[in-house]
Amino acid sequence: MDWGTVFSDTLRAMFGETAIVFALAAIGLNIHFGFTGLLNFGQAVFMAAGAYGLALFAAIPFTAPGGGDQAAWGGQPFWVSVLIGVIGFPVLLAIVLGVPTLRLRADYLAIVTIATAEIFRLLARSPSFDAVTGSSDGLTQFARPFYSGISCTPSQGDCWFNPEERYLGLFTGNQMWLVIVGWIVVALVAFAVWVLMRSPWGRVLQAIREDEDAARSLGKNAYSYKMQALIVGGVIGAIGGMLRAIGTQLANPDQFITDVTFFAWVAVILGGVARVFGPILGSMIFWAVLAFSDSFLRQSVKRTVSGEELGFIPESIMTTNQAGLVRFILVGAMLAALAAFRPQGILGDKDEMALDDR
Amino acid sequence: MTDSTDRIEDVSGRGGLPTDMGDTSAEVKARAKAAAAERAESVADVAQEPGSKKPDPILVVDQVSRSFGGLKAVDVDHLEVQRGIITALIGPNGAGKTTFFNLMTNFDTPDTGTRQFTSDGRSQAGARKEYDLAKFPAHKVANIGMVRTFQLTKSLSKMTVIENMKLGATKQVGENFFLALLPFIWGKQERENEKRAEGLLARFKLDHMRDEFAGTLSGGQRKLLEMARALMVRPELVMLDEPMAGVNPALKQSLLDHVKGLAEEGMTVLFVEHDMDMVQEISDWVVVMAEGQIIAEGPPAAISNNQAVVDAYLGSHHDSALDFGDGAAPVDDVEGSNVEGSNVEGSNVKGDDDAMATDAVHDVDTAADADADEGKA
Amino acid sequence: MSLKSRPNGRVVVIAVLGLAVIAALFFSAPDLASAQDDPNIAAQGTLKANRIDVPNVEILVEAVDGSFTGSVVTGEDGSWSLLLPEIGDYRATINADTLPPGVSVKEADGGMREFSVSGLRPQPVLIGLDGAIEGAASGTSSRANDIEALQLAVDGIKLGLILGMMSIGLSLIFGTTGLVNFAHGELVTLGAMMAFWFNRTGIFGNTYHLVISAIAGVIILAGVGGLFDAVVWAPLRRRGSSLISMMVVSIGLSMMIRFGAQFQFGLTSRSYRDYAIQKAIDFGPFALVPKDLWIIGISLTILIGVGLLLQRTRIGKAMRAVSDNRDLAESSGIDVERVIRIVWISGAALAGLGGILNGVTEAIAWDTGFRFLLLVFAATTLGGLGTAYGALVGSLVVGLLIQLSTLVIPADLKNLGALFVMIFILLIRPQGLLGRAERVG
Repeated sequence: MDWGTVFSDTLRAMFGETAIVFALAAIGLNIHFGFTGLLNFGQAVFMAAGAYGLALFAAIPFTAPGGGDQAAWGGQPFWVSVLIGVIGFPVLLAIVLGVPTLRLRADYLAIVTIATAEIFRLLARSPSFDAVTGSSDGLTQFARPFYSGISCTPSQGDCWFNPEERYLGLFTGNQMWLVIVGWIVVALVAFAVWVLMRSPWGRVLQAIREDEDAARSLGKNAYSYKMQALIVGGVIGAIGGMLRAIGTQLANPDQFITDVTFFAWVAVILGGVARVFGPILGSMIFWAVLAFSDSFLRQSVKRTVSGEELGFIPESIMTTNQAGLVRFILVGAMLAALAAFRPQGILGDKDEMALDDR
Repeated sequence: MTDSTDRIEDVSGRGGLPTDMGDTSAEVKARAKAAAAERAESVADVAQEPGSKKPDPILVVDQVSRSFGGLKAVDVDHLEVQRGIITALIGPNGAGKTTFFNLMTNFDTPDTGTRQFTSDGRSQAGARKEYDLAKFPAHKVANIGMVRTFQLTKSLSKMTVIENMKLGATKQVGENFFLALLPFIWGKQERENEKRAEGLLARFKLDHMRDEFAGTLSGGQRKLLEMARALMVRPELVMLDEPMAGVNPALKQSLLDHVKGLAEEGMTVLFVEHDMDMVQEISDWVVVMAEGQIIAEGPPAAISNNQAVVDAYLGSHHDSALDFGDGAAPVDDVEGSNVEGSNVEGSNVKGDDDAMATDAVHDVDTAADADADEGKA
Repeated sequence: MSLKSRPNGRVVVIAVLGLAVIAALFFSAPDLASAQDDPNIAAQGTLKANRIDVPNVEILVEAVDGSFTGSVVTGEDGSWSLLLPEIGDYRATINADTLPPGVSVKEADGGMREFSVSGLRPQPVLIGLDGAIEGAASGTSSRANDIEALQLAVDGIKLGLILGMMSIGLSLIFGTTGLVNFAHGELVTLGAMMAFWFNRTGIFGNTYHLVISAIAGVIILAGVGGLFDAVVWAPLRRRGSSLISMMVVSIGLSMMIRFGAQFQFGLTSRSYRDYAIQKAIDFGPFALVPKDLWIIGISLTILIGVGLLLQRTRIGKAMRAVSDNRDLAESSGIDVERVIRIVWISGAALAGLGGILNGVTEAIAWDTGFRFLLLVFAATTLGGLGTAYGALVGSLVVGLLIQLSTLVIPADLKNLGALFVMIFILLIRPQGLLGRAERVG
C-alpha cells in the first residue's frame, strides 16, 4: 500500500480544480434550494452554459470531423467569451426555465430542469450540430489565453508557473495557476453570497423559502425574487462549469451529465443547507472522500505491476475497474443516508435550516 | 422610546404611528372609550341592511363572485367597509369569509366583479387616491396600504422575530439585488427599520423574544408577531383572518386590546372571527356572511338579535355536527366552529418539530376548553 | 399512523433475509460480463441512401484496440454482415471510393460508426448516407412515407406499452405517498438484470428459459419493491421526513443501484439468450418479429388487468382512494400503509417486467432504467401525476411521439420531442391531460 499516493490523491482532489468547480456549482445550488427553496435538478446545464458559452465563442474556428467549418462566431477575445459564458448564456437559460415554472409547484421546476439538462446533452451530442458543438468530442482550443503569459516554460520568457514543474508536490504549473484563480473566485463568490444573505434581499429569499404567501402578503414580489435567485445561482454554477472547461481545456457533453447535478447536491447537503460556507466545505469533503476511497481501493486490488504482486483484494471480488465504481456507490449511500438521518447536513443546525423545511 | 419612534416617523416623512406606552392605564382607558364612541358615531346613521352605503368607504366591493367547481363560494352583491372603524366579518363555517379575504388581496381572483380600495394618502406619500384592486397582484396590494394576516399563522419559523419584523418594511433599498451587495447604501434604512421594529415589538410585548426563532413562539405570540409584522407595512387597512384562533386565553385580552389600538391609530380593521363575545367587545360594525352572500349588516348589538343571523348559525350547527360525527361534541355552534379552525391549525403544524406541534395543539385545547367554560358560566 | 398499519415484523425479516441471500448470490455470481460460446458475435446492417438500398459498397470493420481488421461488401439489397472474433468495441467505416455516384457519406459522422458487440446477437450497425443513387426513383414518395409512418407507429405503440408498465408504478407511488421516486428507473434495470442472471449467467449451475427467468425476475422485483417500502420508505414516513428529503434519498438509492449494476454488469450492453434473432413477419404495410407481437400482447394483457384491478377490486379501489385523498381514505377505515406497501410491490414488479420486455427488443445495459426515467416522468406528467390511467395514456403518447418524430428529426434526437412536449404540457396544463385542475400552482 502506497499511502503517499493515497494521500496526495486525496489532497489533490480536495484542493484541485474539481473541488473548486463543485464548490461553485454547490454555492449556486444552495442559493436555489438552500436559501430560496427552488428545486433545481439541472445545475449541470447551468454549468454547461458557462463552459459552452466560453468555448463556443473563444474557440479557434475549426473544421468539424464530418467536414464543414464552424460558424463564424468563433475566435472572439477571451474576455468577451467569458462574459457571454458567465452572463449571457446562464441568464438566458434561467429566464427560459424560470418564466414558465416559477409560478408552479416546486417539483415542477425539478422535472423541467432535469429534462432541460437531458435535452442539452442530447443536442450537444448530436452529430446534427457537429459544426457548432463538435458533438460528442466537444470543443477545444479555447483556453489558451487563460494560461498564456502566466504559465509557460522559462525558455518562452518571463512566466509565473512552469508547466513542467510540480507545485506543492500536487499540481502542474497550469493546474497551480487554475487552482489559485479558482479559489480566489470561490472566495469572492462566497463573500458576495455572505453579504447578500445578510441583506434585505437575502431576507426576502429566506421568507419565500419558508412561506411564499407570507412574503407576498408583505409586498414582496415572490416570482421576481425566485427568478433573481435562479439567475444568480445559475450564474455561479456557470462560473464553475467554465472553470471546468478551462481546467480540462475541453467542453464536451459528458462533463455535464445528470450525475454532476447530483454530486453538487451531495456537496450542498453534506456542508449544510443554507450555510454560506457549507457548499465549499461539502465539495472539499465530498471529493476527498471520493478520491481517498478510489485511490485506496485501487491500491488494494490484487494486480501485477512489472512482475511484482501488489494488493490484497482478490480479482474475484473486484477488479481495478470495478474498484473505480465503488466510490459512486458510496456517494449514493452517502446522499441517501444524509437526507434520511441528517437533513441539516454535517455542519448544519436543524433549528435554523434543514433539507426538511420545504 | 416614544421620542425615538416618533423621530423615526418624521425621518421617513409619513404619518406616524403613535406608540405611547407611558400613559397611565386610566388615561388610556378613557381615551380608548372616547375613540370607540367616535368610531361608533361614524356609522350611526348607516342603514342596517346588507350592502348599505357608508359615509367614507375604504373598500367597495361590487358583484364579486367566485366558484369552485359547481359551488359558489363567494357571491357578494355590494359591500362597503367604513374607514377608520373595526368591522367584523362573521358567519358559519364555509360561509366564504376566507375566500372573500383572498379575493380582496388577490391571493385568489374573482370570476366577476370589481373591488376598489380608496387610500387617504396616509400610508403612501400623496393624497387620496382610488385603486382598482384588479390591477394589483397580491404583492402590490400591500404596497398600496392593504395588509392581511392568515388564518393559519404564517410566522416564518426559521427566521428570528426581529428578521420577521424587518421583512415587513416596504420600499427597502436593500431588497434590490445590486444594491444589496453594497451594505453602506442600505445600512441606514435597515437601522431605522430595526428601531421601528423594536418599538412595535415592545408594544406587542415581544421584545424579550427579539432574537429567538419565530418557531419557538407560542401560538398566541405568533399571532401577535404576525400582527406586528403587518404593521411594519404601514397599512391603512388591516385584514385579520381569525386573529384569536388557537390563542391561549391569557393572551386573548391583550390581542383584543391591540386590535382596538390599531383603530385608535386611525387604521381600518376588517377581521374574521367566530367568537361572538369577542365580536361584541371590539367591533364597531358587523357584516354577516352565509353561503357566500352578505346576509346582514349592523352594529354588534343589533346583529345578535337578527333572526337571519341566528338561522344561519343554527343551520351551521347542524352541518358542523354532521361533519364531526364522532369527535367534537357540539358544545354550542360558536365553539364547534372554533374547534374546527383550530384543528386545521394543529394539522398544519405537523411538519414542524413534534414538540412545537403538541404545544400548538395544547394551546388550542386550552383555548377551546376555556371557551366552553365561559359558555357555561 | 396507527398501530395496525405497522408492517408485520416477521414477514419483513423473512423478506430481508430472502433478498439478502439473492443479493449475495447475485454479487458472488461470476462477472456477468464474461462471454460464453456464442455464434452471434457479428455485426450486420443495411446500407441505405434516402431509403434506397445501396449495393456493392465496401465497409471496413476494425476493433477499436486494433486487434482485428476486416471488410465486407454490401449485397444487392444493401445488407451486409460480418463475423467478428470476440465481444468488444469496433468501428465500421465506409470506403467512400466504392460509393455509387450521387451518394456520399454523411458529414456528421464521416461514414464512420463505432459500436459494441455484445456477442448475444449480431450487432445492428447503421451508417447514414446522403444523396440518392443517380437514376433511381426518388425515395420519398408519399406512399413510402406512409408505410414508414405506419411501421413507426407500431413501434411507438410497443414502446408506449413498455413505458406504460414502468409509469403506472411511478404514478401510483406519487399518488399515494407524494414521492417523486428517482430510483424508479433502477427498478427497471434490476428487473432486466435479474432475468438476465437466470437466463444467461445462470444460478445454481443452471440457466433457465427466458419465460422462467422473467417470472423469477418479476417475483424478485416485487420483493424488492416491498422491501424498499418496508426498510426505507415506511420508516421515513413514520419519522415525518419531508417529501424533498425522501426525493433526495431516492436519488441516492438510484445512484447506489445504478453503479452497483455497472459494477456487476460492466459497461457493455447484452441481450437474453432466447428470442435474440427472429425472422420478421410481413403484415404488408409493416413488419414485426414474433417477439414484438408477444411484447405487445403481454403488456396489453397486463395493463388491461391492472386497469380492471384498479376499477373492480377492493384493493384497487383502495389504491385510487388513497391517491385521491389520503386523509379521507384513512378516516374511512382504509389501512393506508398496507395500500402503499401493495402499491410498491406491484409498481416495482411492473417496472421490472417493463425492463425485461424492453430487454427482449433492445439490449440490457447498466443504465437502461436511468435512461428511461425521464421518459417515464414525461409520460406520467403528460397524463397527470398520480393518475394511473393518465400514466397509461401519457405513455402511449410519448411512445408514439418518440418513434414518429424520427420522420422529421434525426434518430439520435428522438427523445427530444417527448421532453419538449412534457415541458410544454407542464406549462399549459400542469395537472396533465387527465388530471384535475385543483391542487396545482
